[in-house]
Amino acid sequence: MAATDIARQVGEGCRTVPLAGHVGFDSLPDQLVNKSVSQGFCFNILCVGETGLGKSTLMDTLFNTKFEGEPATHTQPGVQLRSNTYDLQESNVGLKLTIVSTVGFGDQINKEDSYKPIVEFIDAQFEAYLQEELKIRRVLHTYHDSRIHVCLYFIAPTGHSLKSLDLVTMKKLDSKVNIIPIIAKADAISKSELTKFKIKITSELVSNGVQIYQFPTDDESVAEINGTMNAHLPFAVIGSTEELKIGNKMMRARQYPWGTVQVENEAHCDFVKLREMLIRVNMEDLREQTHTRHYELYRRCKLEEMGFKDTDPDSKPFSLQETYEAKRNEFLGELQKKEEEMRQMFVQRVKEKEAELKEAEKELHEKFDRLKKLHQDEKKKLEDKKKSLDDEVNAFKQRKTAAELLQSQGSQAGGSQTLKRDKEKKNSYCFTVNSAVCCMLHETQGPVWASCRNPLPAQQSCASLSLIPP
Amino acid sequence: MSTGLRYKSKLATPEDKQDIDKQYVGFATLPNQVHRKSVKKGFDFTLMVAGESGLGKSTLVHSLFLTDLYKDRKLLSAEERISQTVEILKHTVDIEEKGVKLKLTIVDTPGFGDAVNNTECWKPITDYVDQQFEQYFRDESGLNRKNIQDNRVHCCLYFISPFGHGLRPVDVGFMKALHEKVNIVPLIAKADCLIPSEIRKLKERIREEIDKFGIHVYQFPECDSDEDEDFKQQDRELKESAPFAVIGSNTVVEAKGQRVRGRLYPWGIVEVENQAHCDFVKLRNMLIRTHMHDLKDVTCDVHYENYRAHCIQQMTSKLTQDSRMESPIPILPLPTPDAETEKLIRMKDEELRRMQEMLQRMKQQMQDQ
Repeated sequence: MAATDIARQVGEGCRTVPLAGHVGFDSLPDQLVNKSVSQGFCFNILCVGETGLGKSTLMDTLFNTKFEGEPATHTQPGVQLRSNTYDLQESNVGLKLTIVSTVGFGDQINKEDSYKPIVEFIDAQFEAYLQEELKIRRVLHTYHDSRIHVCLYFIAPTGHSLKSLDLVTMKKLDSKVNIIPIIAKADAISKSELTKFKIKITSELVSNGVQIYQFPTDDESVAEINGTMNAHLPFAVIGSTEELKIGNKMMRARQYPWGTVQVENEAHCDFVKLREMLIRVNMEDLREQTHTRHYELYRRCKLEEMGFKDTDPDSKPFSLQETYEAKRNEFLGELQKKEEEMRQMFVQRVKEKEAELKEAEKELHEKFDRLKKLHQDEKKKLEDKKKSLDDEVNAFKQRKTAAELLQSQGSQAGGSQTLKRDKEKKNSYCFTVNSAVCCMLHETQGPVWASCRNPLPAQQSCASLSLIPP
Repeated sequence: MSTGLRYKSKLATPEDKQDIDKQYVGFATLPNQVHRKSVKKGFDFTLMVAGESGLGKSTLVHSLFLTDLYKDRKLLSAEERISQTVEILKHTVDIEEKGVKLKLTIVDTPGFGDAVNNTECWKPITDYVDQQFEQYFRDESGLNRKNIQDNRVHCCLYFISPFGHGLRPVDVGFMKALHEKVNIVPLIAKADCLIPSEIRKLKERIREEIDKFGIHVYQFPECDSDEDEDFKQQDRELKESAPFAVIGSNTVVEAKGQRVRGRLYPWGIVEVENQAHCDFVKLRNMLIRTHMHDLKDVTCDVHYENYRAHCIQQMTSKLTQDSRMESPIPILPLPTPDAETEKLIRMKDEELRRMQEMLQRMKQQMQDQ
């Protein structure tokens, strides 16, 4: 119960005061811990690596259980991601573990698009969280966080250097997720080759500007161990789920004709280091980094895309709500404008169509009128012709009656001298008759008849009339 | 050190010659004559190694022939390999053992399968093999045949990665492109990362997939029925261990008081020549001590003859199409018709035909009207 001096670095306007007794707020961290324990923890791991490098086996070995899943074949047409969630319990701490694994990575002949499904998956998780954060009614404290907290990148133990696919993929992922590179199946590399390989890999990563996760060295309690571990990256691991009796203990190991590799032997591989760093020391830091660095970067980019800014052009701080309102009004205004435009376009089109139709109608009318006129002209012509024909027929009839009259007169008087002349006249009369029938008028015959007063022998004329062929 | 397979030579021994039988003619010494001549002439062998970078090809070649062919090799970094193309490198060495000279050529294929986009990355290799066949064909059909150099590839060792679950698409693509041109011997590389049960499973898997995809790898010839049981047993074991799971090493380590070729691990020492550790000895015996000449024979009799027949057929078909006369025998190697120009010609012919048909139809229509 002694006076406790708590010296702290504080901002201006704040003075440190000594306490006269034990207040008890030093239990705050414990309260926080109790709360988080009751809530349960959540951790998401992404394993990226070629088929057959031992991703599932390593997960089984790390968490000491048998996760479900079958090994994949090499014939996948594209890269896919397989995700499984498990609930693990250790003492009184519950962990919701999600393991996402690539399927078919590095198997295709053309691997230029292999990184895309992975990047899209990570972005999708960020997007889901962002949507939840932007909701009006949100339940962040019970939200199942599916953002990837760590990406274990499995490197094939060729002994030379990174593969080109590894370099390309890690470059695309380093700004989105914490990458921890691992050398898989490390029992294929001897110790001397291993040091050379590690140096080559780190130098290649550095020279290409790939940012891998560095264990934090700012917290004094773990700074030292993290510092030494940083020098051992990338970890060379071996995984195994088989247990063999070594000495008098059961250990996880691999039995070769020339010796036995023990998974948990630090001289054999870096598995223990990986487990320490990943689970026992830095799990919380990984989650924090994901949230504060990678997620914030994604969020900033996304919102900037949408047009939000932190400060006005006059550099007055905007509030998100105002910006949101402004955006909303803008959006609605745009909508209305678009609607107007569309309506106008519609009206215009209708008008055009109407004009077209009217023109067509007019044309049709004109045509009709023209045809009608033609028709009438034709009709008139026909009637004229008919009339003239009637006139001829009448004229012919008159002459006929006149001729008959003359004949009857002429039969009373004789006179063969005039026979020749009569014959001539008869011929001309026949011609006249013919012409009348053929609608050819010879107006001149009329007066001939009128001048001819010589009587015609009636029988002759009648006979001649009947005998003369038309 | 385990003893390798002692090749049973069928040379006539001096005891046979002392046959006092009057019916002894003496042609039983023919094998000896062949032996003498061949030693005088010397042998040549071309071996191709193919597979992704980092699978231990150069180390294995070193262990097989006990010579370092890759003194000043420059390995590319990952960035440079993103868009790398496949090269063909030839290393030739003359080695001699007990008076027998061997001109060994190793054809290396750096860059195979290393780029991000590996579509048709085996094309340079098939082109190279075809080129060698073509060269030999020309030389053989030429007038002066005294000094023909045989550069044809006699065997191709294909390295399969042990980190996967079987054959990958690029493996299948390569083997299918080359199985009719070259003797392919598939190997499982870096087998020291697999425990014996895993090796068995992987071998079975690979054998199944080879059957499934219809790949014709090099088949060991059947041994004669008059061989003794020992030989037959060894032959059977050989056939059952294909594909061989090999480990290579260019360092010598100390194990159990002896100096052996091997790899030193914290948990033990892998001996390359220990039959219980890997199939290196089987591979070496098969490749060098027993089947080297058979590989050459299969290349000459089967692959080369196929190529030659195919070539001649193409040429005769082109000749009969063009000139309709009997092709002269022997046929001098003419430049083979370009497949692309042939396709173009065919296309143009079809177009012409179509246009003629259209013209006819139009004429008919006009007539009907």
